[in-house]
Amino acid sequence: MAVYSSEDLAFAEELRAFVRAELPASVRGKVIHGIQVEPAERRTWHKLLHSRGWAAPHWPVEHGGTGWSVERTHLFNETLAEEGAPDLGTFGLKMFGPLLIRHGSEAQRQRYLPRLLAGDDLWCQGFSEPGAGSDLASLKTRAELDGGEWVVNGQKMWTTMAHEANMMFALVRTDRDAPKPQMGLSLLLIAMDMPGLTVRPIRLLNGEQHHTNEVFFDNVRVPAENLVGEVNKGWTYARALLGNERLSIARVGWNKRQLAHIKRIAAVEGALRSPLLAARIAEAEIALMALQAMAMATLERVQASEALGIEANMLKIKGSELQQRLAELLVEIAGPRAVPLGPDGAEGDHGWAAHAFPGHFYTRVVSIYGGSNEIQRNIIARALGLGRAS
Amino acid sequence: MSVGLEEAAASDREVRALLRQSLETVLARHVTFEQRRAAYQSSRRYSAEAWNAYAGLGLMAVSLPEAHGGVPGGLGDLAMASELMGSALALEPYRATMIGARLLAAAGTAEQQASWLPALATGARRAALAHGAPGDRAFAEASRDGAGWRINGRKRVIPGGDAADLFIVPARVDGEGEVALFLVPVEAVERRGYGCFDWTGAADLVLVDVPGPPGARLAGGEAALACALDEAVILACADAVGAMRAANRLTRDYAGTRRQFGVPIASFQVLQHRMVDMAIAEELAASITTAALAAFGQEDPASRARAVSAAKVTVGDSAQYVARQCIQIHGGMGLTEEYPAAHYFARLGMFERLFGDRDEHVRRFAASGQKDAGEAW
Repeated sequence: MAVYSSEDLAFAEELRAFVRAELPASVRGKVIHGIQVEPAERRTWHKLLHSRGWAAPHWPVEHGGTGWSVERTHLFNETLAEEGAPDLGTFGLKMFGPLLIRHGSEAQRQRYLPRLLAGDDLWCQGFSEPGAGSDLASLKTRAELDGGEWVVNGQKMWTTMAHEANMMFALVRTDRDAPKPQMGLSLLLIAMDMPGLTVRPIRLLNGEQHHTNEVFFDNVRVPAENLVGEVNKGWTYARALLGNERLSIARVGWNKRQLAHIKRIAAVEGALRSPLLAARIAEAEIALMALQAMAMATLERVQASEALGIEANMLKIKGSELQQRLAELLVEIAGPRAVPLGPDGAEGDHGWAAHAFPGHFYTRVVSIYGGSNEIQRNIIARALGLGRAS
Repeated sequence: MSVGLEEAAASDREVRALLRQSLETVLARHVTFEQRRAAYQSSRRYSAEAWNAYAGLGLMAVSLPEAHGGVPGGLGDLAMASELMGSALALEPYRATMIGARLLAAAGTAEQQASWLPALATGARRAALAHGAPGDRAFAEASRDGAGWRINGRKRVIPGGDAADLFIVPARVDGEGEVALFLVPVEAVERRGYGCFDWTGAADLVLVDVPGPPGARLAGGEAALACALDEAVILACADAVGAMRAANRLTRDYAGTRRQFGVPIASFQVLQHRMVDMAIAEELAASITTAALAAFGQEDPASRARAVSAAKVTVGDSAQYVARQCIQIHGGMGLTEEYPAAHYFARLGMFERLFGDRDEHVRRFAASGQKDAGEAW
């Protein structure tokens, strides 16, 4: 396709070979089966990418980025996902890094960016709360200045990776009397080992997987210098997280990998003998081609104008729907073998089947997080001039 | 990509942009909703003024050999024109003529090209590929008769067939089993022309001992036919994308002005989300059509067939969704003949009925992973 140059495509092949040579099969297997990788495994992979200068390709060169084109960065992300490389933590490198580069002080950038890039710090994002999900601006965790320190009280929820992270970037309320709720929010950097901060895991139905947490703040004292940018401007900074890396939100690489996984299993299991199942797999593959075509069309538009509009919201919706569909397809292929849960139930060669339901279940989250698909539709509706909901 | 190629691509884009602009002007002048109604109620079922205006632009010459009156261009230009015609609900047999003319240019003998292409390129004559009805695998049969042929068979639902002066008829050669293509002028066949549910014209043909002189057989055969059929699919996809774009605009405009309960119905979130999904359907269809067009350049019939089938399925799903919701959001108005919503519904419904339906293309796509594709459906 015209979007990628032949140099880009050659680079993708090198990258593929690099992942296959360097990524341990056990880690790749975990990623493909949707099992969480160990922190040490992820860190090793992070260090390896970092040694190549590839930990944050989308960052500006002066901060350790690559200076690659949007296309090459996109191709890099998708190729890694397709090859089963573990995610390095979206919140730090993809969200927090660019935010700090744009809005942080020189001292903050010098202190945090190199450690983030090298994988020495792991960041989590403290945005959602029990009463503030899609309506994020209504969040209640508050920070008050007291003797040159911010004193934080409240509760965050659905804080992914908080149990592994040593740092959090949090949205907190610093002005309760602001004329609009989003005008009283600030962005604070909080060390996870501060006294008064407690992390409690949220157990999901898929049992052994520890993904997400509640975080409680009881008079946590944060140095004043940990405020990012200006006070009460946090909402603006958080919203500006939308960069070109949002193209990755379509998860084309992830979906490609998952489809290849499904086709391999279907071939081994003889599932293609069922014409109905074969048709459903073909339909999923067609949906993947359509998603990829939409991502490429978007990339072409970004190349032409550098602006990324509602296409990213559309990609989020379709990409997450396809992720869910592929996860369901795996359960369908597994049939009754999808029923046993845990190591006792896994049956010899069919270890994949034991992961089918947990994967299907966990994939339900992708249409909820990152701005639920309903919120995405609200944003698109507004851009189409359809007016606000009554 | 070398600089030279980039420059060429840029100039192609400029030429295409100019052609687009001119065609938009022509469609706005000659294919208004009222003019179109007069056209489908006429005995010709399309507008001669519109056709002549397309000819005035040189539209039918685009991508045909310059030696025979053609001008440079490619399938992408034809897709662009098809998309605009889909938006305008144009009735003229443009796509049918172009598919026929391109097949002739790709697979016809030098004599065949010299005698027919100039008239097709100027729009003086129209062509159609007499492939048959969806799911109708029975080609006509051609038996040897001295140095020539005799062709027998039936062909159903040939788009643009009612207006064609020339048919390209695929027929199975007696005994050999291969498919050959024959040029058959309209005078040689029994034709029944009719209007379709979307008001475009089509025809059925009966061929009884139709004489095929030695020069009637095209040089190319099955491979050329498969490519022509894939081109027909992709131009139909482009037409449907155009129809979806227009139907979505129409629906959003209507929802913005139609008031119920004291507010525009576009202020209801349930309808907003519906219209967002319609916009996404349009975007997916447009993207995969573009991607499939790129597969035509690769000279690999199997990957082309795969890309085309994926496009047909995706565009079909999008078309069904947009067509149904367009009517739903318009309420009763959506069902009337005097308003375009129903016409888009019909146009998009026609897409699914022609050139292989969803099941056939899913089947072809699924099979393409296992064996060589490129087989005609």
